[in-house]
Amino acid sequence: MNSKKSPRKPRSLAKRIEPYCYLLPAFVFLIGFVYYPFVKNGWLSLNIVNQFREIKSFAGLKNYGRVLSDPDFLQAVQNTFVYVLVTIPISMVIAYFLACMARKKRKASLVYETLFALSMATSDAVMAMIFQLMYSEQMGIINKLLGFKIGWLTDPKYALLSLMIIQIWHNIGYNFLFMLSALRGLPGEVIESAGLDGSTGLNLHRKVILPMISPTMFFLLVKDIAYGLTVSSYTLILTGGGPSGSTQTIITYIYQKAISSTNYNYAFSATMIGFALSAVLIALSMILEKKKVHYN
Amino acid sequence: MNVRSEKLHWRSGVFQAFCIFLGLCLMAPILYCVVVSFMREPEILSPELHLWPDEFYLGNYIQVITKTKIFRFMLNSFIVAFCSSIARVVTGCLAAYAFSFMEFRGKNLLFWLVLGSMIVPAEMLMVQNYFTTAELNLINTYLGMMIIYMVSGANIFMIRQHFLNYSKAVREASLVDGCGNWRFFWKILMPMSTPVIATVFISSFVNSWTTYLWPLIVTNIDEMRTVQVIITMLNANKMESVYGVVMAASVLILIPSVVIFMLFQRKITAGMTAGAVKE
Repeated sequence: MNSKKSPRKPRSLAKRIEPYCYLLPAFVFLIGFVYYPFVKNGWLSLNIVNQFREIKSFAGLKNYGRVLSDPDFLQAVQNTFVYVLVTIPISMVIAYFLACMARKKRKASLVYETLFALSMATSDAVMAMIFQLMYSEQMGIINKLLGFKIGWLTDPKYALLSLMIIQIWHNIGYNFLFMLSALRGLPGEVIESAGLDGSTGLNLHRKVILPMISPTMFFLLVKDIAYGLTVSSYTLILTGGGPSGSTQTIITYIYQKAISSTNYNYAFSATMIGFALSAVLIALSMILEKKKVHYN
Repeated sequence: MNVRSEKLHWRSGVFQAFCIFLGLCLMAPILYCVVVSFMREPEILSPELHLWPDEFYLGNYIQVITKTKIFRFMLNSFIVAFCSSIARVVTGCLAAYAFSFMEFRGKNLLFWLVLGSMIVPAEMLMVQNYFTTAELNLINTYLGMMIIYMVSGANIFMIRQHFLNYSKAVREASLVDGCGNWRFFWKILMPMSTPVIATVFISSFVNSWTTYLWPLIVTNIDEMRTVQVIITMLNANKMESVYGVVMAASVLILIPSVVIFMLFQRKITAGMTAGAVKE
């Protein structure tokens, strides 16, 4: 066996370089558009820069102090957290409910599975336009059906809620598809025998099914959190952060500071804070995983 | 016996009908969009509830097609989505090949860089990436719109997981037969990997087709806008019936991604779960 392998002799230069050639295309873009901007953003956030992004003086953490004491930013962070903490659990519960209904294959399965999952194929921009019309105070179908006179997108009390409803709707399809394939992957006998043993209803789900599909749940949780912390489209399209900052998110705050008002000192340090927050939340859900998730 | 199975049959029928009904309720916003796209302006604006158009009015669609360059915008979106998905497949497969079949110095570090890129949200980097793109003179170009989507750490990871399923023996045998790395990669590995390639391609196509923020930032002339960006700007243009036209445009934009999704739904989920959840 060993004798067949060629003895270790210095490999030719071409052979040694070859693996890096395969990696080159990917790393050009990874370095250029992930690591370079990350490092540069981190460095610039420690300096005072002018509107041409030229460094004027070293500032240490002063920019961070300013951003963290900017009520607009704190509001944006709070909105983003509310957004994530409300939309993710609700859309996961609804998706789980739908996946349980659709688990067993039936004649019409394909029809309702597609309907349950279809929101995954829609885009933020198109859904924003549709909901904008539905939320309209005068002619929106929601006010017409409910008999309300609410300015869903213009009243500070309801604006964030209105955006969260679109997000929940949007997330259902994606979560549903993953939970469905996890549920279908379970051995049918397990569920049936558990049913015969008398565990039914909530107990069956809590004790038997949920622990078994927890890897999928965890994957969805992390993905939803990572995505939820970077929401911006609905705010940018529908409210522009208003009314009175009630729908501002971390990303739209950065966008407005950098692109609209070229205040890079705020934008760069807000970016780093936003990144730290998402890293913390993702790490937190990983600790949660270690404790709760059951791998078979 | 017969009566019982008939009863079960009947119950299953009702259950399925209920599921379809529930699905239609869930998709109500889209159905509403389709319905409104066939309505005349007074009907849309009227304070009374209209759930069905009085007549199927096609004027909104005619306006979208004649007064906006909707097909140009769709072509823009298609070019960006198609080319960036191809690029992701190419960069992903090449890198995954090196990571799963080759030994080289720094392999671990480089692989950690790939994994690390997955936890940095692209949106957080968009300001710096905008300046890079501007410095490369790529504002208002297709390349500029796709440049941050040319590689995805998650895709490299998924393809690598897939490649690891192939035994190294196959590769060593073909290398002994005088088949170089490149030929093995191109002639043997790629044809064997069409399912995972299709998954990466389709999911990144749908992703790119529906993306909003980046194309908004790196374009500032109408001709280069993607459909997702332009639809949010139709309000500002001078149209007879704004809402009907926007809904008609929405329907036209939804069709491609919905069709792709329906055709390849199984493929997308199968590939995604296998790559993401299997331990």
